[in-house]
Amino acid sequence: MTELHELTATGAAARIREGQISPVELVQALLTRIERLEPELRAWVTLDADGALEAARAAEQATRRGGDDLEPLHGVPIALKDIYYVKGLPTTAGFGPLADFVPDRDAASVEKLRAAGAIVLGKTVTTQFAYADPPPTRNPWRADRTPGGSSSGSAAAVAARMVPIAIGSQTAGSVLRPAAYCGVVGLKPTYGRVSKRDVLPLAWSLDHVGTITRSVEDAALLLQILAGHDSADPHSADRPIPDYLAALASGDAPPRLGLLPEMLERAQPDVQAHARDVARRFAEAGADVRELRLPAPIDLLLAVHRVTMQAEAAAVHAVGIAEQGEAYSPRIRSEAMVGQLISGPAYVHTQRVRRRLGRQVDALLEEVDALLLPTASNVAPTPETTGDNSFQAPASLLGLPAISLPSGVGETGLPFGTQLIASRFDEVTLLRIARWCESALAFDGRSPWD
Amino acid sequence: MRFDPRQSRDEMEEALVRDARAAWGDDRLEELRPVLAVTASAIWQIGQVRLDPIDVEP
Repeated sequence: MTELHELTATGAAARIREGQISPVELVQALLTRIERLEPELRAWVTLDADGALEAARAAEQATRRGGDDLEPLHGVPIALKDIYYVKGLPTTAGFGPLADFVPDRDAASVEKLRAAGAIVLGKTVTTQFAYADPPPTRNPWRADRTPGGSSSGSAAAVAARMVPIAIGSQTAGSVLRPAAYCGVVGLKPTYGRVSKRDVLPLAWSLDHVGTITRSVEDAALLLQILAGHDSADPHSADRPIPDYLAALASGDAPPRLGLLPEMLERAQPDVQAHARDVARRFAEAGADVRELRLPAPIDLLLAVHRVTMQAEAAAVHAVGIAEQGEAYSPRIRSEAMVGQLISGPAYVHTQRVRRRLGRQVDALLEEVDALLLPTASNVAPTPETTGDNSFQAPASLLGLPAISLPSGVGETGLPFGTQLIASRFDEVTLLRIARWCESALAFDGRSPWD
Repeated sequence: MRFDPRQSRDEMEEALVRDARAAWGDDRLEELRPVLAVTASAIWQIGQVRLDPIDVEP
């Protein structure tokens, strides 16, 4: 019998639906686990045990009434990164002056998750304003390493089996990198695929809602729930929502993957060796793995990302820096201050270059189903940084859907992540390929933090 | 900082440092120097991509 805290969201929802487990016992099991592990892991900002148990009891009653109309996440606990508005719970963004800020409404994502039957367990640690100042959270594989950021608590909590699924956000690498560092699945959909309404911003044209799960199936399930147009989000795409879950079952055709050797050359030796091994294993399993060259130097993509993020973060935090500068952590403060100095023409030219780069990479993606590269240049480093975002930032810059899959564990005892990037709004292909890769990898590692 | 792609990378950094001193004062300058250097490099690199006005829009 699978331990309750080991269940994926899909597995938990099925057992709840079939009456095999109670939402109340599931929530209680996770709360017990959190109570035991949290003093060391430090993944949570706010735990709403009472609220979660009340929701679980209501879910249990609904289950007992029976019927085939239970929601897809009925009775399944979820965690939210502490930049998402959750009605009645503090939303602090890691910023002292917001310690007592309690929103009176849910973010669009939270509304959808509740409507899908999910139970909000609490808010997880974010780096301050989702930037790069180190969090207190530890990596559940090695306590002397960072879990990555900025979705630090979400990734750590899912990896440590405190909660089956969590929501994060990504502006540079903040979903995929902590997912890779913590040995779990991170999905960043196409920009605009999921509404960002009532999510505290870092850089509006780069911010994405993302998910952290322990399986591709759960990632697809969450995207199915979260995707869709929201007229209150000016960047929300008004496009049909495909059946992502059907995509997982749409066949076992091996994918065409474009390996990026210049990214491998920038990776640490252990990551590089692992990435080549993964490419070889995919090829042996039938994938068409071919080498592709990026249409522009990666440093140009990163430069465009940096200037965009700085200028927009400066605008987000202009008043905050002026009025409460001392409450800001050093990295976000420096970036926002320097961002004020970027001229309008420099920002505009940057966006023109960005659009050109986007077209060039779109053309590259016509040759393959997805690009293949390591999620990060390194495994989780020591905690004075949240790691290197250079391998994740390009997908954020261009708004392309990307996923990180845990693909192995190195001699350091830390997990590796493998990244796939697909064409704009083609999460169907991305998830189908990710499922194929997940099977080929057969990763069965788990955080030793028990 | 005036955006002029003809400037060298070092000239861009000097301009950013001047602007930082004017905006934030000498007290903040040392804290900002590493970010100023990286930002100057980024803006310079982006500026080397020449685009005709009739070319791609932002």
